Amino acid sequence: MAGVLAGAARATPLLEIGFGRVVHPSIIAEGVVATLGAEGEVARIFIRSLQPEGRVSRIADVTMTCGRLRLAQVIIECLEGSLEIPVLGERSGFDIAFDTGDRTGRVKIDSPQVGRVDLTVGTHAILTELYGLPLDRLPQVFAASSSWSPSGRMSGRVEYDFGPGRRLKASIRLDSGGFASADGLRAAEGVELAVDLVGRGQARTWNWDADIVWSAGEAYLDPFYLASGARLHLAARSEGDRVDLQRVSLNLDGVEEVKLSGELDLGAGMLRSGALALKGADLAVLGPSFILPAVAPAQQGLLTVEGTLDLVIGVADGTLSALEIGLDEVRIARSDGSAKVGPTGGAVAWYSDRAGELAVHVAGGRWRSLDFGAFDLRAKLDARSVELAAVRIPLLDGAVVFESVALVRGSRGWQGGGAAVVEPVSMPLLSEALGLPRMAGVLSASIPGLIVRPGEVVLDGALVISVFGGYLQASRLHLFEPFGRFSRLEADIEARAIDLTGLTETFSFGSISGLIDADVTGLELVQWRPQRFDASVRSSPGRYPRRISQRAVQNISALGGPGAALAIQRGVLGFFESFGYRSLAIGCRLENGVCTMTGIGGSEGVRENGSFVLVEGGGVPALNVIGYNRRIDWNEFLDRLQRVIASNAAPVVQ
Amino acid sequence: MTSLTKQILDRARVILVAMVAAFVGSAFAQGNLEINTPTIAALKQSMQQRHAALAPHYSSGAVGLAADGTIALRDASGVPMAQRGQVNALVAAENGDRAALYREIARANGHPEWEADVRATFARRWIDRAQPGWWVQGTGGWARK
Amino acid sequence: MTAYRQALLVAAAFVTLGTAGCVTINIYFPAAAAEKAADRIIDEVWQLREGRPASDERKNGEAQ
Repeated sequence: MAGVLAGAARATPLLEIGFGRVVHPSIIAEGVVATLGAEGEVARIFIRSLQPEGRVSRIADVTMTCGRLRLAQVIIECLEGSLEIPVLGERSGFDIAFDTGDRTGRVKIDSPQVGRVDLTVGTHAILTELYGLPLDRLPQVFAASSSWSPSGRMSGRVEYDFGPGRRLKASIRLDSGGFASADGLRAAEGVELAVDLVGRGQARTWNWDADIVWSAGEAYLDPFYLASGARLHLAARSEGDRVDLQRVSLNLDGVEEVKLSGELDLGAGMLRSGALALKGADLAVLGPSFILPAVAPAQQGLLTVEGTLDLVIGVADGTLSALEIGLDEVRIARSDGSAKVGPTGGAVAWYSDRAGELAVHVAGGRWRSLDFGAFDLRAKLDARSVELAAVRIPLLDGAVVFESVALVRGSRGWQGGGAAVVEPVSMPLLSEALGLPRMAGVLSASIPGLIVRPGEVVLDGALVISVFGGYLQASRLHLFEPFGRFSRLEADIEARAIDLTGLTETFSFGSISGLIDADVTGLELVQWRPQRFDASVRSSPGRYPRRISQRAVQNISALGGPGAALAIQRGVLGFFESFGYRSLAIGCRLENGVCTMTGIGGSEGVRENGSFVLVEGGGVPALNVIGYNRRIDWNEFLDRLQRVIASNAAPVVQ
Repeated sequence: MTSLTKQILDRARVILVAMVAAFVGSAFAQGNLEINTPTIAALKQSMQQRHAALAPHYSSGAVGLAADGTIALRDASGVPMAQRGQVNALVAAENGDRAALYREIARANGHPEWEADVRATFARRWIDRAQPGWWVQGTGGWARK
Repeated sequence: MTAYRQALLVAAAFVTLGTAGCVTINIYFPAAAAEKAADRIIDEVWQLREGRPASDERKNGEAQ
């Protein structure tokens, strides 16, 4: 330390002493110049750079001015002083007393803006007491914190024992605290936090014990919104940037126990490896705040979950390495009631570097108005693939069976395939479940080629319903975006020898005897409503009785709307209960909400005036039903059909 | 014999007309992409309804148009904390619809492999047609239009 | 009979031409058409008409 006598430049001080560098175990000061007896001042100390020990950034150009100065033997006292730190902006009240003999002392800083800081330096310890230190000044001292715009006031005490067994004890309270990243995706407001921290240092390592209680405020850590009420206990060991989280437990609303262990890299700001374990998590509480935002953000508000979850998440080298899930009494439902699954229970174990498995028991569920029964889902899991064991899902008195389904997750989504079978389901039960009039018959399906591609499921096979003495077969089944909101089904349907007597009676459409064949090609359902198809229904070939009741004739003409007309006079119609017919047919090509109708002979049978024959009479009395209105609004057509069926279900007295 | 010849010639004429029609049809297909499918209509309607909720966030800059044809929550600081999750859900739902739209357009035109091209085209057009003041993502990052 | 053969030949020629034509037409992504399609959809989704942007400030006000 070299004392330099400097000549007076402007104010002729009594004495000016420059200290190159002042070193204390906890603080390093550089460029210290003490000036005595300058104009209007008792004494002034200027410090070009003040740097606390360690890696914390330095404070530049500190000026301390003393109102009262006492130098007695080894005691230096600077009282009623003021402190000026340019980065902090304003002048603070300042008191200092220092004993150069045993290097102990006391510093008090007080300012309305900065709050009050008391610093007591002992022979082996420094005690810092904070009274409402504003955090929004932090970026001016620590440049690294500027991108987080911290706010709030901090109070408490930090005791640093720098003797041979280093010890740090802090008890800090944060009031109306917060921070915000520039993009607002990580932010907190109105936070009240109490931190109790004890650290013990040995050589380069520190052992930490901390209790953190978050009692007020809110935070958003994309995509999670968090409200206060959490309590954290932490035991860790640190060396430089590496923090080894030995034991972290969190008390969180809706979870019995949360434990975290792992290794943090503060330099890189990431969790190198670790495990998060949740026990007894209540999904009704955690679902909306944690699970849906992460797993199905677009479905928030559309799905409800309840039940209990145990979860272990493993991280290695900064990436997900293990996922162990335990489910108990878990129910998942769409809020609109259109589908639900559960209760389910079981376990899922997935690992990035070895085989895992899935074993879940589903006690039942409902899709639209169809209830399905209990089944066990078992699968072998690999890092990017799922191999499902045969699963039989009971449906009414039959079942849907998936066999050897294997899926691989690619960059664009899941793909793979397998086979599926629908074991016979009786139509009386199915029609009842779907809210349709009771129909006799059986539904079954054989899909040997089940192909899954991103956003697409192809069912290569056929679904067959034996009904009304004939059969109905759906093939070329294609399901697009099966889990999207606009799932679309495409299929071709072929029906042969359907007995009209049964059909018309079932749907209360008057009475028609005879058989029909039908072909629907390019059927397209969006959200289960037909959007496009080309359908033709016509009398089956062959010899069989063909009669049509007066009521059915009226209904068919009513379907045609006001433009439809009968080829015979109503008076004549009134005399007979039923008529013979040679052939009947109706066609509809639906496109853009409009059904283009045809009759017998399809589009070639349409006459020049645009009319088409729906029923061609035969025998006596002969009756033709002719349609004139070729283009019908599909929704209106459905309305008419519903009205016709409704009016016939309830007997009408004319 | 003559009637048979006539019949055959008639049939040939029909085939010829069909061929010409097919040519005109494919030429037409070159000029226009099929976007009149029920699924595309449903997606458009869904996105149009959501737009009323998204528009204020485009204007405020909370949500921007990303370079990959999606939208992104780029600056949530102006949105009340408790609502940031909802904006995030809105963004996720919109991106779900957009992905389905790009895929569906490629599919409706018989070329599922065009999906990436359709996405790139849309990405450019969304950004080109964004209103002044909206945030868009270019090669140099986010910028205000 | 020659007429029949001729007709068949003509038909066959057209079929080959037709298929050949169809195959080459759709190999490339129709960028201009896609742009037009995108614009039509964007018009509808953002409710832009005749290049007049819908004032979302107004809509915002209505929503609140």
